[in-house]
Amino acid sequence: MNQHKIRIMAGQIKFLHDFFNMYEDAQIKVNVEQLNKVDMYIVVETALTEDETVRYVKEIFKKTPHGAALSYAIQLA
Amino acid sequence: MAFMSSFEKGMEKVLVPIATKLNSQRHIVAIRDAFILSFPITMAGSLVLLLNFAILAPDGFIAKILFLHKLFPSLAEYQSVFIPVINGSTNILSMFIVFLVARNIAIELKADDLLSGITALSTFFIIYPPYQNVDGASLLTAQWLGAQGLFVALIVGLLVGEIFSRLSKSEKLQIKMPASVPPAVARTFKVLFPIIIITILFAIANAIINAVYPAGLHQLIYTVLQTPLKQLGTSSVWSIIILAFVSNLLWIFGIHGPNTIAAIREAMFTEANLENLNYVAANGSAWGAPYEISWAINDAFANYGGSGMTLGLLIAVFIVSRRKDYRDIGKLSLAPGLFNINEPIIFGLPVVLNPILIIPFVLAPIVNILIGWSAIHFGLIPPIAYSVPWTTPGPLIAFLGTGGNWLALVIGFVCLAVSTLIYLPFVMAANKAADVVQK
Repeated sequence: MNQHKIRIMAGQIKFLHDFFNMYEDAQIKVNVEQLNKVDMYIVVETALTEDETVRYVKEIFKKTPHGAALSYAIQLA
Repeated sequence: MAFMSSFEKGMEKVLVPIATKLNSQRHIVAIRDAFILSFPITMAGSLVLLLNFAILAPDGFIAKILFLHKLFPSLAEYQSVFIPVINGSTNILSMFIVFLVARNIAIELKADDLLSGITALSTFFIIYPPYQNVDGASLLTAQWLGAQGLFVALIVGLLVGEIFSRLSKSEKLQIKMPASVPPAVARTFKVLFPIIIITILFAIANAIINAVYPAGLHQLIYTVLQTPLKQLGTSSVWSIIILAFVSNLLWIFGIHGPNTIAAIREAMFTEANLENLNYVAANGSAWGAPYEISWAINDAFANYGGSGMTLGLLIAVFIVSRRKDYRDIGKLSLAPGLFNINEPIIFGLPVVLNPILIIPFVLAPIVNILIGWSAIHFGLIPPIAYSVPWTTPGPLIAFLGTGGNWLALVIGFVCLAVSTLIYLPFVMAANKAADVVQK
């Protein structure tokens, strides 16, 4: 299993934090490492590669009701 | 700071739910995504036309620079080769839209999206003005296939998408074929009754409307809905200013402004943009294009670097910022900023939720919209008639959007300079605030 550290940046970071905090599915398990005013760092346990993980994290949030409404950036930390 | 904090909380409680609702409401999303999906076709048509006139017309800006008409005197004759491109793009946009809206609704409702789209296209022509016999030939008017038929396309797409998706889920209306029947055949029979019902419904509705209003449904919708909304958008520069203000304000609070206003923006400005493009296709010049006010003004003069005219912010950072972190973020943000992608600086400085930078972020685009509109209104430059990709670097959008007008390029640089001047004192203030926080 890989562990990737990812930085998520957003003005409305609370909504992304609410979604990703303790998030777990068949592909990834997320732990929020640090939450700041406009960004947060998460550690993702997964079998995916780094790039695949970033893409996957973006995709699952995009599918939520807030996914198209908020502006955010997700990248490897 | 306490005010800003409570303001942020208010925005979070009020605006985020509204934006979320707008961005997940299926009809709004279906319309927004239909325009996004049809965008490459209209953009391709616009770019081919732009290149056509820029290279092949004797007064085209590329032809002039390269002296093409001295080298190839018969070059202008070949312009007619590319003119029909408009017939395959903007002139049939309503057909794309009706299909895509119904398809998008069906995807959302988990119905057969392809057949939903085809049914909507079929329905669009059921209510279309009938064939006319002219000199023994049956002719169908092209008037409502392009920009003027957009609202009917939207309404039909939404209605058919909804009705089709709901009816096709009813077990009683499904014709179930034996397992030995090929899947494609079984799929079509499954939705046959819903399609028949929709076809009959719209044929009857069309007959009733034609009896009451002989000019037809397209003319009715165009007069009652599309024209007033278009006029709301194109009759005053304030429509662009208000939309830009809302979009940029949302952006600075972490809400995707352009997405949130997309449906209303497209409804208000798409016809004007397409009519301008049709004008240049017919006349070979943006001078005299019918709509001086369109959303294209925002992209051409007020979106350099991305929302909030952040290319001006980047330049201001390089000019006055003494802080290493600001300059480092500026360097990282410059390359994407040239192509109007501003996430690095938006989240890097950060600009989002920054009480100091909120003012220039909202103000600079408004000032630039006024500059660009004034230049068009007072006849210094033609209207922005060509569609140009939003990732085109800054002032080049104004230059290409006007068909290669050099003064438009100069005005674009003036807008960039003005936005830099607007940002300068705020960057200095943000620097001082950051120094205080650091101490």
